[in-house]
Amino acid sequence: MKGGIQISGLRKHFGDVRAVDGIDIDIAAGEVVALLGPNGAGKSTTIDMLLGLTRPDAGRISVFGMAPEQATASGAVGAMLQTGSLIQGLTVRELIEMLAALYPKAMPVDDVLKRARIDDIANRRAEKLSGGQTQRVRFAMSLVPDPDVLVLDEPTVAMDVETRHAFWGSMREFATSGRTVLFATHYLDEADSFADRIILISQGVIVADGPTTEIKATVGGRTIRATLPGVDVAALELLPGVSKAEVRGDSVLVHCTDSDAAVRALLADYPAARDLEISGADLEQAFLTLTEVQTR
Amino acid sequence: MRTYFKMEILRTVRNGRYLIFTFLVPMILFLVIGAPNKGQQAGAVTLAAYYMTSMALYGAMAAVMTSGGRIAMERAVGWNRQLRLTGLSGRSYIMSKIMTGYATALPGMILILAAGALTHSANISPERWLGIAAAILIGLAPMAALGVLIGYVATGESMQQITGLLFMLLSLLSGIWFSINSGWFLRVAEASPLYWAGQAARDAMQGIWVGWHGVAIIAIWTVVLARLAMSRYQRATARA
Repeated sequence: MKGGIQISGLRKHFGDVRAVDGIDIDIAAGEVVALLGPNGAGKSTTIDMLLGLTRPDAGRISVFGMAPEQATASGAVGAMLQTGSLIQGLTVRELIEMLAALYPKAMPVDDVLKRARIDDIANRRAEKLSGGQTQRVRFAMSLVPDPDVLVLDEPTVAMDVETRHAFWGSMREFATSGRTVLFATHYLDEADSFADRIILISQGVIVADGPTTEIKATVGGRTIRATLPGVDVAALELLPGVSKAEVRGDSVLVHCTDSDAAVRALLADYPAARDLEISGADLEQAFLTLTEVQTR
Repeated sequence: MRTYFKMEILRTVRNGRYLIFTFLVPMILFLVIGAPNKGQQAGAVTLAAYYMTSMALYGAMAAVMTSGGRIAMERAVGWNRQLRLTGLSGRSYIMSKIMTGYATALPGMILILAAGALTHSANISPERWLGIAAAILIGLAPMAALGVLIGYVATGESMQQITGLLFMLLSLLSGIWFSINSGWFLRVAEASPLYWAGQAARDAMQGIWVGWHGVAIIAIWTVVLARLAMSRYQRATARA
């Protein structure tokens, strides 16, 4: 049996919209991978096809050697979908029991409740839960089949800070047990702090794929903007923590790998620098740049 | 699968509407309109006997139809997609809804028939009681299919209005509320999906076989509505 996930030549168009336009992904068993991209990049469509919920126009998908539908039905894959809520009339425990009954080898219900940190609300009715609690239960549902692969589509979007924290806590536990995790997000920070590998996707194609540190260096650095007339660009680029500098009229734009070091050095060497602004990575911009480079 | 089915029934029973429409409303109507009128005739049977079968049918119909309709609410919250990630096939999902409808229809129906027996609204042999129950359950087959169809046509919000409207219309045509004797109304009623369920139940009470014509109408409606429901189901899952 071949482990991991193999996707090749994956394509899905909705009318004129090329939601997914030829994607190849190879994920080894045990990897924690972030599918990072702006809204509308094709993340959800890719995930829906990976789970067998949407049929691709073209391409092949293999999950642990199985077709997507087979992989999910057998319980090899657990998933938390982007949208969705819970049905009414059952307690959290009953809901988990109900789903567990549909899998060949489900995780014991108490384990699911504990791992997803919802044992405190196990006896509460689904319709009485807060938004954050609902998300935690939805995460719990993805653990029910005791899956080898966990697929999460923007899991933290509807979570409050506290829930988010608890969520990543349980996720870490799950991942350290050697299982494969693929999650979609549009937050670079999330991808950075949790994934070993980032796949950047934009307009239905992969624009970058590599270890998190590498991807972050490409798109994730901070930028310092300052008013500093008549400065030598080459000299600026020699400052510590600086990767690239540009001059725009009287201002300079300094791209940094380490903005703290760069700003200290900048102010020490150029006391005339003023109107300093430091901004975090602008993902949308980074994607645009990356896609432009590719299509050119 | 047994646990899944158990939870489905539990959910239904916990819903307040279930209690109202399959127990309270039919029981009150029977006790108020039916039971006190044993001297009055409604067609071939007494008004009391007529209302006993009618209300048993009404309660059972409410349970069977809303169970299928609940699919619309589950689609609205994305629960169907969640279930598609499990080993539960679409066919089993729909079957479980129909079975839940029937299972939750039984207690209310039995209670009404028991109330009919206790109030001496019908003094008949055990076989005839069973005949009434069988006629109602079999006669409701088109309603089970209709419920599923509503589940795949309606949205979570429109489901209750659509079910309510069809429920009213079909029950009017079914002769649940009053005996339909002649004229164009009878001809329309006789072609409608629910009429023969009531007719078969009343006939069974008198030990009369309803006839193949009625059975054929029930069968045709069941097949047509089930076909429609299946095609809507396939469209809904292809799009998702």
